[in-house]
Amino acid sequence: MNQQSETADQEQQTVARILLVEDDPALRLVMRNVMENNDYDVLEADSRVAAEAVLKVNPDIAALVLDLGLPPSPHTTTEGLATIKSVMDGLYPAKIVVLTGQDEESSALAAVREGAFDFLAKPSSSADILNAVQRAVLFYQNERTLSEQEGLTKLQINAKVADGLKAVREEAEEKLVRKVLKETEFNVYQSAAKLGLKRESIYYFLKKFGIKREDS
Amino acid sequence: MANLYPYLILIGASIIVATTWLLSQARRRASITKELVSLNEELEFDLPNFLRQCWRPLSKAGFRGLEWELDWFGSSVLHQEGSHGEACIDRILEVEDIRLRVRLFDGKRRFEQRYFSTLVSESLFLLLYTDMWVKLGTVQGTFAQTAKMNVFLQHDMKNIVQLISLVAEQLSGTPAGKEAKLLESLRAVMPTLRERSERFLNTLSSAPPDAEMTPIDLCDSFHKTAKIHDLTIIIEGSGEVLANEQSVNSVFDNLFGNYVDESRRNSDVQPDIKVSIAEEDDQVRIEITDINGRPCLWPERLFEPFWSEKGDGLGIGLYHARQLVTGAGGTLQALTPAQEPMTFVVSLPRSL
Repeated sequence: MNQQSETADQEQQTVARILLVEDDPALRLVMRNVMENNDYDVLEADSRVAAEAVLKVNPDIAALVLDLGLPPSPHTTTEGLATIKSVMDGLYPAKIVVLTGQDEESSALAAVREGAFDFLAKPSSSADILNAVQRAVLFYQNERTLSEQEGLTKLQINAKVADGLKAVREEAEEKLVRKVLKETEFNVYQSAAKLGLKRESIYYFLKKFGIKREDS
Repeated sequence: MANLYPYLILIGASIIVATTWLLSQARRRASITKELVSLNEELEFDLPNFLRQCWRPLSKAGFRGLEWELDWFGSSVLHQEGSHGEACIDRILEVEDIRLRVRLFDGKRRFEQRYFSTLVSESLFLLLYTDMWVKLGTVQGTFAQTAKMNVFLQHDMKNIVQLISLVAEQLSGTPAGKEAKLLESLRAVMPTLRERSERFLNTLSSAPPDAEMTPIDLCDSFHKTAKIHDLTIIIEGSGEVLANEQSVNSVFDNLFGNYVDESRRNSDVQPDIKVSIAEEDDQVRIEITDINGRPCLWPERLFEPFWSEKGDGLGIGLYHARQLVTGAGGTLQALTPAQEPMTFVVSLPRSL
């Protein structure tokens, strides 16, 4: 039984899909090789917009390896951080491993604040990158298992104590409603059933948080 | 009435004499002010040097003495010229880390003399104040540019080191059966690595590149550069220029890079580059336009070093390109019609 389980885990790992978000085509190609040699299914994007498009088509991506310096401002962290925010706001389950040449301390802090899973400074060894990706995939898979088996959903909330409980509750409500709507492909009836609410309550949240079908 | 004539004549003559004298005095002060301005320019707006040499023209303006106390980025200097008394024009000028106190002794001047002294002294203070700002602007600008350059070079360098390190690791640990794939990726990676390292060195080096002149087929050069930037281009015409290959590649790399940067800012529209080449006498004229591009909003700043539209670029690409083209005996201009996309026009010596 244990062996069967291990085999199943290994199979799951071999198909783990990784998205490389890196504007340097040469580096992207070499990293792709590193990942593919370790049996990951690799997708590529050279900008935030491209990454968003890939994620939309492949919501099952387990992890992103993200360079913070992306066009149109490759020498600042603006676009990279915007990508993390976009993944978080889109409620994608993918874990984000930041691999960047930007100033380490401030970038790491900003990336973690936005929701990055791990942070590596360039240059990093392929072993370090693979370890980080492996951890990210493991977390992704475990969260997915928990979600499927126990209905557990992980939400990330950046809460300021000074804002009080109400702000935290509202953010959690919004994220949960958005996530369930996304999972049910905006089916209000199913979402209400999943959340144990009346449909009217779902419509109330749609209005309150300004959620539209295309957002989900 | 007739008795008054001599008096009237005397008054008129006095007025003429006084006016003539005032005019000559005004002219003299204007000439002294001009001398101060020229001296300042000659000394390249260097405040300490100007202070040490401005006494000569000032003494011609009738000042008896000059005293200045300069705190120059933490070093204090006190300097005196001429004789000192009680009556003086005293001024303190301060700009960030520079503080200057100037005292001009004019010996209790009155009436028109006082007016003339004020004119000259205010001109002097204005020059001193300008010099302080020039120095401060230069210092701050240099620091800012160095910091910006460091960020850019560090970013590029880290990417190059990361690339080399991953390639080296792969070379030593590629799984059996995947060598062919590694070789294939190395073939794609190594030329771009070389290009980038050369570009990196060019940015660091102020020396002109190897000046060996060779005939260069422009179509080949454009296709090569477009490939690096992943651009599709349409080329009309053909031509060969006689220039340094590295310089020419760098010029078009910068021009194409400018279009790529612009398209990344405005990701809705992909660049559609049209290049036309025409041979004219001993020159080859090249026009490059992004048909989908926007009109240029800052035509006067296009070639300004260290300026970029969004502040996110190093801002030396186009400046560097222009320097290289001029160095190769050509010209680089930008046509910036108000309602149409910008066109770069490059002229380079034709290979005969």
